[in-house]
Amino acid sequence: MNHIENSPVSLVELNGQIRKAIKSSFGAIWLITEISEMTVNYSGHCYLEFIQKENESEKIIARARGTIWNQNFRIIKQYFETSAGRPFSKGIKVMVKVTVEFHEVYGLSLNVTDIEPTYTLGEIALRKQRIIEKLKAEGIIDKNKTVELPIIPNKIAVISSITAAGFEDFTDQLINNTSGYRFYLKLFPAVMQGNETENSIINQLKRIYTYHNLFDVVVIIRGGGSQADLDCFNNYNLASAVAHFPLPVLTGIGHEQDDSVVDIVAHTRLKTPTAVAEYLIDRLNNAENDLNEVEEKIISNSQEIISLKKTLIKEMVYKLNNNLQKQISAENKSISFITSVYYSLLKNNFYRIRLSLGKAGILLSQKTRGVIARKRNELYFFNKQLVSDSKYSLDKAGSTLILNEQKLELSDPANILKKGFSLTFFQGELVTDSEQLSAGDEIETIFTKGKSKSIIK
Amino acid sequence: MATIKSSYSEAFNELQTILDKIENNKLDVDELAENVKKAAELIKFCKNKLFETESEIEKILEDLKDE
Repeated sequence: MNHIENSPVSLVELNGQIRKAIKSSFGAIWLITEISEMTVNYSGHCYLEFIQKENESEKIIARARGTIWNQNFRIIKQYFETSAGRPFSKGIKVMVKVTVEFHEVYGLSLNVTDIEPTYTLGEIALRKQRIIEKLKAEGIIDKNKTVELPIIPNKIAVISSITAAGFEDFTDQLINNTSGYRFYLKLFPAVMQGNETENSIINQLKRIYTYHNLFDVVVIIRGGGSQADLDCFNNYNLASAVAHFPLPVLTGIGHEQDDSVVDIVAHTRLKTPTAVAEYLIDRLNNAENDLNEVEEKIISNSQEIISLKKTLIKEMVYKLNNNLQKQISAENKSISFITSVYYSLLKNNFYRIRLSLGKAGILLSQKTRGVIARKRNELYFFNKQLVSDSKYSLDKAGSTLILNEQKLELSDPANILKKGFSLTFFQGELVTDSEQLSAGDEIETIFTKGKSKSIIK
Repeated sequence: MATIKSSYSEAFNELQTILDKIENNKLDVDELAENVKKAAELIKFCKNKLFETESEIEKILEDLKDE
């Protein structure tokens, strides 16, 4: 062992010297760091672990313990949460005012006395912005928005914490909606805050993916106010899973002021579970209104068409009737015309026929009469001829007879008379034919003995 | 796995097609009667989807395994 230049010191002496050296070297310092661990003990003191990671590799390249004494912790926590709108918790980057303390027993510690919340906000915004840029670069930031939301999204896969009040309200609101719409809900329970959120939700999205044919929509909801931690939703992996999901994803993760990256990639971002329920009910309400409108339009249009057709038919019947009647009356007219023409023709003809008949009659009777007269004349002449011829013949015969008589008288003239024969003379001539006589003619009859005159009746 | 997704939109689209035909007076009276009858069926189908419980869906969702 080499010789000892200074006399040895005890540990407590050394630590005491370190404390003195540190105290003289460091005043109050504004420090930028990340809180990796945080515990609050029973007396309200806060014990932290600060780290620094290498930019690309995320490898921890520095680490220190930190403390916030109870009276400071209450003030700092409230100030930070009010200003940043997020819990003061591990995992955040902070700008804090520290004093470097060294304690003989507890060693090095950074004692926090103040905090600058805007740094944390800026950090969060920056990180969020980087995620958004990445999603944009990959072309998936609006991917879920292009997934069509069904007209009636009533089969709902709900990602929520089973114990969250928000989930209960959501379910109640949908199931007991006043319009009476039917909703089907299936809960896929997940951790909704803190570091486990990412994996928990992604796992449930994977499960829903297996059954995605059963559902219309995925709803990610979480109760809670403005104090809720949105950081877990500013997560690239989770945002990417939501963006790629084949069903529309609706979010209601209970943050009034700010959108998380998950909200940004979601199909529709709503502020609260209640708002999601309202949105879904509205959607069904719109569908019902559209349905009723279409129904009314179909009914009114059909009725219109039918009444139009009825009118057309009526018009047609009327026109047809009219035309028929016109036609009938025209036919009637022409029939009566034709009838009258025929009638007059007939009458004419009849008249003519009658006339000609009459004429014919007259002609006939004239002719007949002529003929009769002629015939009569002829007869007369014939008769006369006959008579004169007969007379001649008779005369001849008479003279012959007389001669013969004389001869006979000589021979047996009296005998003839004696036998009852008589001779009749009219106007001195022998009557041998009754035709020679007419009523009133005076004839002379010669008997065997004597003669008498008589009048023909 | 059976698909139980709503065919509501198909039914509704068909309704709008029918309405379109009716509004544009593309139907004769016989076709109109047919289409109105079909529309009534579609409307009933859609209203059932909105208001009536389909026990088949309830059962399938209930039977999904919890993990």
